[in-house]
Amino acid sequence: MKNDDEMYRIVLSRREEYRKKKEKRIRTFRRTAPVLACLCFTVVFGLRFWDDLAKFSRVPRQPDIIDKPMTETSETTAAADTTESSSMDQEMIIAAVSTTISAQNTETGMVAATGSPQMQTVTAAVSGEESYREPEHETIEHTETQAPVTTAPVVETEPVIEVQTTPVQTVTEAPVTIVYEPEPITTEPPGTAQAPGPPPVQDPFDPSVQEPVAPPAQPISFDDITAIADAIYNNDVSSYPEQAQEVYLRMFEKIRNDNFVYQPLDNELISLREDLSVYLFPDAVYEDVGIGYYATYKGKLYHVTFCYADPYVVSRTDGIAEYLKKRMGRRSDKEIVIQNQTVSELITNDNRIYASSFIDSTHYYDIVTSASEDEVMDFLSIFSYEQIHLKKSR
Amino acid sequence: MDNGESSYRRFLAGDDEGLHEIICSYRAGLILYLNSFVQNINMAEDLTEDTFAELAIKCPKFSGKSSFKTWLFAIGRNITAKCLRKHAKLSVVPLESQENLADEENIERNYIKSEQKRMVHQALHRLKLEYRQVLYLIFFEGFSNAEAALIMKKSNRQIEALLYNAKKALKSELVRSGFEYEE
Repeated sequence: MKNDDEMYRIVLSRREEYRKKKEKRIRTFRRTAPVLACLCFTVVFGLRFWDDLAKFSRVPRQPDIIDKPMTETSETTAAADTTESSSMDQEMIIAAVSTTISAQNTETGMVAATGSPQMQTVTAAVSGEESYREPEHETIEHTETQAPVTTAPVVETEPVIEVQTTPVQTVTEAPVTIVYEPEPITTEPPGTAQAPGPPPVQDPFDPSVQEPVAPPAQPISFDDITAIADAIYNNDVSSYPEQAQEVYLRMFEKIRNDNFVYQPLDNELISLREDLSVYLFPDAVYEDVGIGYYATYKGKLYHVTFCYADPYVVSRTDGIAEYLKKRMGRRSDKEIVIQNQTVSELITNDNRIYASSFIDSTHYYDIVTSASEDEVMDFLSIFSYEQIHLKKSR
Repeated sequence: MDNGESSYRRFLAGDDEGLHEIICSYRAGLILYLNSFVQNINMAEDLTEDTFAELAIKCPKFSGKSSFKTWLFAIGRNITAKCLRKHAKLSVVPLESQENLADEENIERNYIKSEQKRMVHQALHRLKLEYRQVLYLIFFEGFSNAEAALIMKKSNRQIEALLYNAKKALKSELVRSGFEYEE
């Protein structure tokens, strides 16, 4: 049995022991709490941006190849100096907006026929790579005739192609004259058609979706809306490369479902360039299905594409800028409101301006030009469009 | 304010001597009271130590609604009840199996001076748990019925009934053991 003093000492020693344990607990907590807090913050931060990070890892590097052959001759012409600057601008726009026309060119041998140095604007990416980067355009000057750069061998099925050798615009630059051939390719798909199945819906954020190994389908050029309507309703893609046929069928069906296409309203201010082709842009990771026109306003050339927005991405985004960011990784330098529409504007390093705005929940337009920002604002303030019914146009 | 309360206030103010005074004043009585629960004097001593350690470590607030001794014994009872629940040792240990009977006798002899009272206290071991508690609190520690009710968490009427039955049981137990009982 303990006496009073012994019990007193034991109680005090137990109290001291308890206090030491408590201090140790507090010290441990103070040491570990910041680490745990940082860990939790990192986890929360990581989860918050998981979607974006996952998306970044799958955004492809840029469109493919643009092949705009330009022929330089040593002939000296006496063209007026006043037309020089505007012609140069127009060429830049044409070269920039037509994102991909490569495979067909390779096969036609059109380039080889020119037999002279050519300029290529390459926007691009090798499919299959995982890293993301901003759109980048580089100009490659070839000193000998060669086919455009492609990432895979070209299939030997050739579309019926006519080569236009008539120069459309002439740039005089002593002592060299640059002759531009804006539309070297016209396609006339045969009339036999096979009904395609419903297009598979691709989830751009689904990690199981693999990027294609073959080069992406190239845009197709047509003379006018009537030719487009014929192609869409004939639904014959047999003259195109095999790997692109399914993409074209999906593009046709998408347009056919609407049964109309948008077209810039041709008025006394904005005039459509009928001498330049109308392009159909197939669906790709870097662009939506769309139809593109050239228009002129106050001597400046504008390329206007009316695109079909991806409804899945639209449902997950708010506004055109966010849509473009999520859909194709394009940034937006500013958003402006013109004619009660929010327009996303991007100015590239080479002073090219991209302006995009939703028409409705499934359509938007995308304008590319090398005009100045004020000129673009002026253009947008009077820009309007109309619906062209495909069946009627046939 | 009884001495226990003033000592406890001094202890809370930082004077450890106050705790020493509390231990000296209440240790033996608390051991014997808790022994009426566990019927093991060493375990009762450990529980008493736990009770004082509870005071020393957690420093619970004494509100003054009862006497300090009542409050302290209630704490001891709660700690004992918790311990018994934990170890599921509610069974009464027979006297013969107690290991440290001498210790109990020593503390009993020191704390209960009257020989007659010691005989009665020993007879308590053969009673029911609640009879032991109520008789010890009222006749050995001098608590009133209300204070005993507070410690045992019972009402006054329950204590009165319990006390009546406990007295009857104690009387028959004493008679059976040859105690000369005076009416």
